[in-house]
Amino acid sequence: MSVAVAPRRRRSPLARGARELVAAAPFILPSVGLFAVFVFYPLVRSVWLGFHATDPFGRHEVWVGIDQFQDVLTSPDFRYSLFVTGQFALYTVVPATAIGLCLALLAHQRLPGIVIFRTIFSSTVASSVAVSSVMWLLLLNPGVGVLNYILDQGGLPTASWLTDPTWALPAVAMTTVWMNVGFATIVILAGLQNIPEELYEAARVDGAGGRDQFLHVTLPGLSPTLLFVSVVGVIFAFQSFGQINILTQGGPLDSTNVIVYSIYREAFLHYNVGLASAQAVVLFVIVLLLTFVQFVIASRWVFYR
Amino acid sequence: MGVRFDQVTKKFGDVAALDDFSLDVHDGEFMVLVGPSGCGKTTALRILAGLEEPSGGGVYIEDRDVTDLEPRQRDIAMVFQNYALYPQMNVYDNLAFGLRARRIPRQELDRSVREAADLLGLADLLKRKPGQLSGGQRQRVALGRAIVRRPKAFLMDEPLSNLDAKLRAQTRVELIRLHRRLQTTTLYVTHDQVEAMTMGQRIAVMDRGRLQQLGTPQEVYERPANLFVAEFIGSPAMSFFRGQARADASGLLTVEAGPVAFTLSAAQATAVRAVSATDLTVGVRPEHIDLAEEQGGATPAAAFTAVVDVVESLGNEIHATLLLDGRGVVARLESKHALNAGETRSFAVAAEHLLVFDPASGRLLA
Repeated sequence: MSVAVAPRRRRSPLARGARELVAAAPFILPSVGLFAVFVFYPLVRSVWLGFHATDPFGRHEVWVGIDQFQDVLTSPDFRYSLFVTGQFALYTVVPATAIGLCLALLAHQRLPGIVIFRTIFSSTVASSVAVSSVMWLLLLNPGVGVLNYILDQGGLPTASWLTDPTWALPAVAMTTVWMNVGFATIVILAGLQNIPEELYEAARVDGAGGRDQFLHVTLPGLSPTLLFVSVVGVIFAFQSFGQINILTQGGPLDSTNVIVYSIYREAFLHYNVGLASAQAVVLFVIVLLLTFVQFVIASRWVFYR
Repeated sequence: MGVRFDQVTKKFGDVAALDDFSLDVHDGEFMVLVGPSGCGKTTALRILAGLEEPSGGGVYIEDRDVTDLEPRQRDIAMVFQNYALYPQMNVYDNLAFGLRARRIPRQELDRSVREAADLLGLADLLKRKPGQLSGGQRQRVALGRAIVRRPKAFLMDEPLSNLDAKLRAQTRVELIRLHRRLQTTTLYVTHDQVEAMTMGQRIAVMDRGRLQQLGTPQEVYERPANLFVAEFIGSPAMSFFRGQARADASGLLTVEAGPVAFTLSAAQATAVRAVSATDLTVGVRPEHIDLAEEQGGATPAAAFTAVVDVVESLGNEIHATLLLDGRGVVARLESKHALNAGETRSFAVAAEHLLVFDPASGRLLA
């Protein structure tokens, strides 16, 4: 079938693009504005400050090249901070994902009233870092805290959770796990609901028991979700600040001095804005690389339908 | 032997998806469950598979009561409508999954998988994942996963419904060949009457959770047990004429339905008189309505003139919709006839092809 098309005057593609841009601008500008002020400008400014030394108020910038980056990368303090942050990521991401998976599996059952449990399991997502930290500050209090009380009643040894260098990081990590479990549960629950029921039925007819169904249907079906939860968890861990600031201020003996807290100290306690900026840029690159590595590793076993 | 449903009932809330359903599938038989959506056919299949629990009654596989057994203990294989292949596994592992779950030794497993793959033409695709296969290939993998275990029965839930028309016709033939070769008891669910008629050694027509008729495709087509089966099986559908029975002077029984009067044969009249029915529904298949001039010498059971409303030429035959008393009646005619929309023509129906139903109960009387 042939359709006669009347020859039409073509507007130049450039003019059409410009018109579309004018129409799109009011929709895009508000968020571009916010991003520019709170993300892009600080990012560019951090990189710029990384190459400059300043006075304590961030003025009188002097070009110092890569000196500050060299300082950061060779500093034992920064390396220790990095080590602490890595530990913190390990202590938070693995348990939060595992607990989130267990809770999501429980909440995925079709039972009367299950919605209530889904709400409870995911509720921590709605509490702020500050509120959760203060709450845990009380729970972890060596004198009047509930945790020590329970341990004591069970005949187990108690600890000074936040002032003992051995326990401070695990205690902060525990708090963070509690905060992140809600998010992990919600996302994994959504992932579970995306796995077609027919696959479970096929596996049952094929002779698979509960364990085989979990290994060959549930886990593969959840792999993209688990990747997402762990990537976001690592990023959260590398950016944690609020709970550290409230619970331990990086102590005792720097045992909880994660990178972001060390940046904060450098900038706002030592007024060394340039060095702090250099640390921030290094952190940015590390998180970028880590995420990239996670995706590369995951591409071997994550299956996207 | 084979597979048996014994008075199975399944209720979802107040709705009975299956109502006192009994069916005996012979050993090695290809049985088709056919009916409109919601008739209970899939529920019946899922109960046999163990994926649903019946509210009452029992199911038997080779005379063993399996009603309370887990699906994996029943030694059946199922082909799902959307194939339900394990997306992260390649074709080989998909086929092998059921064997691994049953701890079949590696060598035997490998041999079974390759045999099934050869049988279905999958040998070159064993390394591929389901996402890299066409719809037809996935369908064959789903079949392969069923046959590789040599189960006691195959359960198939509309396995061809996701294929295009050409592939569906082709796969139908392949399934018939496969069954002839393996001789495994097969229960096949479909809403497609062409699949039912062409594949089933016997077909079970279902409606509203009840078995309406069980028989060979030919029996069901020629002697539908009731109005539902008569209307459901056959395309284009049978036409129905409701009217009153009257005996004429010579003792012949006639059903007067508006502009058409059907004269019943002696045998039909006897059957109708036996139940002393006067209100009757006469059913006529499209291929039994012919142009009057083609009838030859025999006296027709009914003759009428009608306006030709729509003519659909399929090349090998013509489907003509005739206007009779304001409603459409379809006639299936040979393509050699010249028939034009808007013409008024004379038509006739041969006596031996009439079906007489009781409109109240729907039952076939003669």
